[in-house]
Formats: sequence, C-alpha cells, structure tokens
Amino acid sequence: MTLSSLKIHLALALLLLASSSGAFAQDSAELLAAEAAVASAERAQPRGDAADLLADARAQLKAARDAHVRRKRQDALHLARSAEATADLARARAALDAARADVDSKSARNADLRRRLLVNGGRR
Amino acid sequence: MRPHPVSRTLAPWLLAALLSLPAAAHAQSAAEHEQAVARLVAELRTLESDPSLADLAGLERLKARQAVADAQEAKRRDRAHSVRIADLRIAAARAAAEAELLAGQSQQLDRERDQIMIEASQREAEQARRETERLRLQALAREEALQRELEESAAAQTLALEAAAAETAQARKLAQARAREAELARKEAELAAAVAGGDITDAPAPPSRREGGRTVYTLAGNAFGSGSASLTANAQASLRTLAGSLPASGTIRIEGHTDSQGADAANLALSKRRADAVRRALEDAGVSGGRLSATGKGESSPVADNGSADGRARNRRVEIIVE
Repeated sequence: MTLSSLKIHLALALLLLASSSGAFAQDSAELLAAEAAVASAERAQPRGDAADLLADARAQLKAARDAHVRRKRQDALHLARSAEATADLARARAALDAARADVDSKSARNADLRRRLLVNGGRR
Repeated sequence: MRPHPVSRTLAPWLLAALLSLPAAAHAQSAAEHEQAVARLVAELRTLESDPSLADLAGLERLKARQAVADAQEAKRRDRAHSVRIADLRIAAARAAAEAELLAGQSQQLDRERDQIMIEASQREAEQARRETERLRLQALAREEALQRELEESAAAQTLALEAAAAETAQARKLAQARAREAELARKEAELAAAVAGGDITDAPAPPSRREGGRTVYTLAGNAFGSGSASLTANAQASLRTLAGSLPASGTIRIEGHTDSQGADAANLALSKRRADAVRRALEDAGVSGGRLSATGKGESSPVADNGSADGRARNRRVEIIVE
C-alpha cells in the first residue's frame, strides 16, 4: 500500500466515523425529545383514551431505546419520533378532557346559582 | 435439450412481466402515498379554516404543518412513518386548540358566575331597600293613625269644653239680661210715671238720613230694654215728636234689627216685636195705621261689626223709613 492509498483509506475511515457520530447524536436528541414529551404527558394525568395513548408512547419510547442500543438507527429514529408525537397527542387529549370537565362543572354550577339566586328570588 | 416452442414464445413476456412487477408496486405505493398526503392536507386545511379554533394552539399547528410537509417530501421508505406522524400531529393540534377554546369558555363561565353573584347581591340589596321602605311606610301609617286618633280625641274634648263654656256663658248672659230687664222695667215704670206726671213732655225726633228719595229715622237700641220690646219713655216721646213732623201722606215702613247675640229665631222675633211696638207708638201719636207696616229683620242686616260692643249697639235699632 502506497502512502497516498493509506491517506485515502484514513480519510474515508474518519469520514465514516464522523458520519456515525453525527447520526448517533441525532438519535440521542430524538430520544431526549420523546422522553420529555412522555414526561409532559404524564404530568397531565390523562385518563381513558388519553391514558391509552400515553401507554403507547411509553412502549414506543422503550422500543426506540432498545433499537438505539442495538444500533438500529432508522428504527430508533422512527420510534422516538412516533413516541414524541403520540405523547404530545396524549397530553393534548388529557388537557381537552380536563377542559371539558371544567366547563361542564362550571356550567352546572352557574345554572344552579342562577336558579337559587335569581330565579327563586334571591333566597339563599 | 431444446426448449419447448411455447416456452420459447412466452419466455420474453414472462421476463418482461417479472421485471415490471417492482415498478408496478412502486407506482401503486406512490399513488397511495399521494392519496394519504392529500387527506392530510385536507384535514389540516379543515383545522386551519375552523373559525372557532382560529389563532389557538399555535405551536401544535406549526408542528402539524411541518409534519404534513415532511410527509409530502418523505422518501419511499419513510412514507408510512411520516403519514402516521402527521396524523398524530394534526390530531394533537385539533385537541390542543379545542382545549384552549374550552379554557376560554371556562373563563367566560367564571365571569358569568361573578355577574350572577353581583346581580344576586343587587337584587338582595333592592329587596332589603324595599322591605325597609315598606316598614317605614307602615310605621308612618301607624303614626299618622295614632296622631289622627289623638287629634280626634283632643277635638272632642275641645268641643265638649267649648259647649260647656258656651252653655255657662249663655246662662250668665241670660241671668244678666234678666237682671237688666228688671232694672230697665223698673226705670221704665219710673219714667212712665214721670211722663204721666209731666216730667218728660218733649224729646227730639230720632236721627235721620236721606237714602235716595226716602228719609230713614233710626231709633237706637237703647230705646228698648235689653231683650225687651218695651219702649223707654224717652223713645216714646221721641216718636211722638216724629209723628208730628211726618208728612200727611206716604207709606211708612218700620224695620226692627238686632245684633248677632243669641239665637237667630229669637232675634227675629224680638226685632218684629220692637217694630210692632214702634208702629203702635206712632199710631198712638196719630199716624194712620194704614200707612204703617212693621217687619222684623233680626240680625240679617247689620250696619256695624258685631264683634265689638259698640258695633252690636249700633246694630240693635229700629228704622222708620218714610217714602
């Protein structure tokens, strides 16, 4: 092997290493984003369908981590992004459910107040 | 071994079919992806054009738009994944927008609750004010009724006292009048005796005044005893003088008047008796009775204020009207 050939092989090896390192960093960022999304959804305390979505997101996050460990980069990336999107949906649905319950409760409260205080002539 | 003629004929076609299979599958996959992307774009457009959700969940909408754009640009191997992610992002954006919309409604309901409480307080205050006003009016009415009762009671007491006082005064006046009548009767008897004895032979005619074409002679109240129709000796002498000076013809009206003291009917009767006494005196003095007429006017034609003793004295009179 000549010196020039050695340089070329060395450059190719460095390029491959850099590319691999960049991809690894991107996978890690996607995993972190998915973990943050799942944590945020958990704080929203989802119920019903939203809780099912959160369970899906957790499963996808776990699968993404596994794929990342096995260096299945494409799978890890897809699973992490899917986990993040699913967790975001779980959080939004949890917020929607809470808002609906809040509006229903306040509507009932106002109707009761109006009936007791206004319709019945203000007797408390 | 030579190939079968049929095989030799079909071989190119089979080879072409086998070679075209991946291309056909690829074309079908691309068409399905385009349909999926078109559906995603339509769903995103529906979300964006919903006026009730306008300007809500900005970050989630941005992520949804980005996901749809990624799906449109996705490589073949990433297509299914990108479509799934875009579906999730659109659903999350809609849910987040609806949640924000409901949060706004929740705030509106809180304001509505506050308004209800304010309105209820205002109603309560208004009711309290009305109740206070009602009680005030009730108390006022009770007070007025009590005041009226007191006034009526006081008025009744006053009337009773006034009646008693009037009765006492009347009795006193009556006693005084009787005493004075007796005194005057005594004087009259003395004067009559004096006249008969020639003590009083002449007296001036009563004072007179002209009214239109008539001459009115006024015999003052002291020509009679108090409450009496008997002429004093002086009055009789004065009338005799008048009779001598009267014209030979013409009618003579005699009107008796009293003051306002005492009852109307009694005053009317007294004035008539006094007018009759004057008529008789004139007749006795030689005036023809056919020319004379006598009427009693009572207290109906005063010439002075009955509120004073002097006024009452002027009102007690007999007028002799010569026409």
